[in-house]
Amino acid sequence: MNYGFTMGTAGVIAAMHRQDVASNNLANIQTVGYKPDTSFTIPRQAARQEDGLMNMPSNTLLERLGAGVLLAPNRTSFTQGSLTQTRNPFDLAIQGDGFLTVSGGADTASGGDSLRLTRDGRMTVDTRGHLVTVTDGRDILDETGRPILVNPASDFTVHTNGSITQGGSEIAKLGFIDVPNRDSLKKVGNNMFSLSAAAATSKTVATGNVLQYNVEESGADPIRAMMAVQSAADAVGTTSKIMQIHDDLMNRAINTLGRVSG
Amino acid sequence: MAIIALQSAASALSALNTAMDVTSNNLANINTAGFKSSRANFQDLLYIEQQQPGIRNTNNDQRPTGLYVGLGTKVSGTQLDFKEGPPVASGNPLDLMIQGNGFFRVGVQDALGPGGFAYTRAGQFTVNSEGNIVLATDTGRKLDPPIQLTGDYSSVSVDANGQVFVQRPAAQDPELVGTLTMTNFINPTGLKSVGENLYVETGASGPPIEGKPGEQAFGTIQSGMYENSNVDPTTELVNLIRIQRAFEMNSNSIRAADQTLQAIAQLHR
Repeated sequence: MNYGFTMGTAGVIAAMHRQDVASNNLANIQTVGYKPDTSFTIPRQAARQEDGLMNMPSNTLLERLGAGVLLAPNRTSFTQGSLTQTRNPFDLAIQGDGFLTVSGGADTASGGDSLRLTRDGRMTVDTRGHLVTVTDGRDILDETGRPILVNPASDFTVHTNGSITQGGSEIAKLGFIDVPNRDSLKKVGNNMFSLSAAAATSKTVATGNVLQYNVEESGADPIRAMMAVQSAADAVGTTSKIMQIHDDLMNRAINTLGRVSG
Repeated sequence: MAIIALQSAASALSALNTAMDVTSNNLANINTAGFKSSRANFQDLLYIEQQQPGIRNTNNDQRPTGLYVGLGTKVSGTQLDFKEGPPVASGNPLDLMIQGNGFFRVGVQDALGPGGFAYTRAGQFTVNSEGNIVLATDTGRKLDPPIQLTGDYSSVSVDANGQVFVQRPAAQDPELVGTLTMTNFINPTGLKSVGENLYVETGASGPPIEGKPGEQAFGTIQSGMYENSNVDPTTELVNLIRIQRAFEMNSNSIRAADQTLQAIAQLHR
């Protein structure tokens, strides 16, 4: 009898989740190198099927309706963000596929590699002379996984293949890699992704280009994100109405029909 | 749930507010000699793990990916853009512009800068009552090491290597009274702005590296010119529009999240 009520609840929870994801995308429309998430839902099977309880008594009519929705993992869209020119030689953008490698330090969450990947190529030089990310000062790594030492007094040129030259000679080549299965990347905040152990072994050399004097704008589409936030709010409104109707039905069943006359 | 949406949007409003402040300050200083524009750098906040990857489904397969929800954005910091500003010819011999890298060093009170020093590229100097070369600001910060113009002289000149000469009335050749010292930092973006066009050393900027104008890695001095603000009005105005629109969109997301919560709250009559 309460079937519709629980289905309504599942719908409200799913819609609120959609709203959270979309509003995070919208919050990050100014974040360089941000890649938007898309939320997904999957149909939920009736309890008897889901839990494999085939001997449980069932209502064949209702069971065919399924049991509402479940949240599926978010997927991140890695489409290219637009490039904006800057005046800073330490601003890099990636055009095409690939990520810059950043040191994860001691922080090896998820048991994978301590490497972090980013599409945010805004760098600066720290007091040790290392090339670091401007957001939280982590070392940017070369192709052998070592920090890059630069001479801050000399000119600084980055070529499209990631090679860095100062005074005409190459000082390092940026670690510029790609991962075939992007779903294995996990967002860890600070514009970075962490790799699972499997992804760390499957990494390849990136095919994209590194562009100096550019930053890659956020990939979040403000219109799409706004529509998603609003449509999720509407969905919660209508689905909660269904819950109210079911509540009302139960109220009548208990208090009107079920009253013992006397 | 919708609370996360509210928080994400709120974090964005607060970050965009900071970005708006930074942009407005850049625009306000469009005519400030030696001013360097800043930009606000955004980064995404941490993610909440709602379902772990690796959970087994009914088929006993592992879920390949987890379910994460982001918590919004923040300004990770502001970054100075040390690109050289355009030169302005003033004809004043004590207006000095550094062409290339480097800063002038001036003396300040210890509380302002470590060691009592601050650094500037706004080279508008003048002479105070004691003949010392000082910044032509209301505080009159003294150039360090000090250069004093004493006695009778008819004109002052500064050459590309920062040597300061005065012309004595009776003398044939100008007399050398001192040489400017220049300072550089390994990471100038790590300097701290303290107002008055001055920057001070921080842990992030690294220790000052001293040198003379024209030496390797140091710029040369152009007398009779000063460096104007490097703010580009077009970029700043475009930024302002973008920030404002982003602000509006995120305030819409607050409204939508509020609608959601309202619908939930009305479930119980």
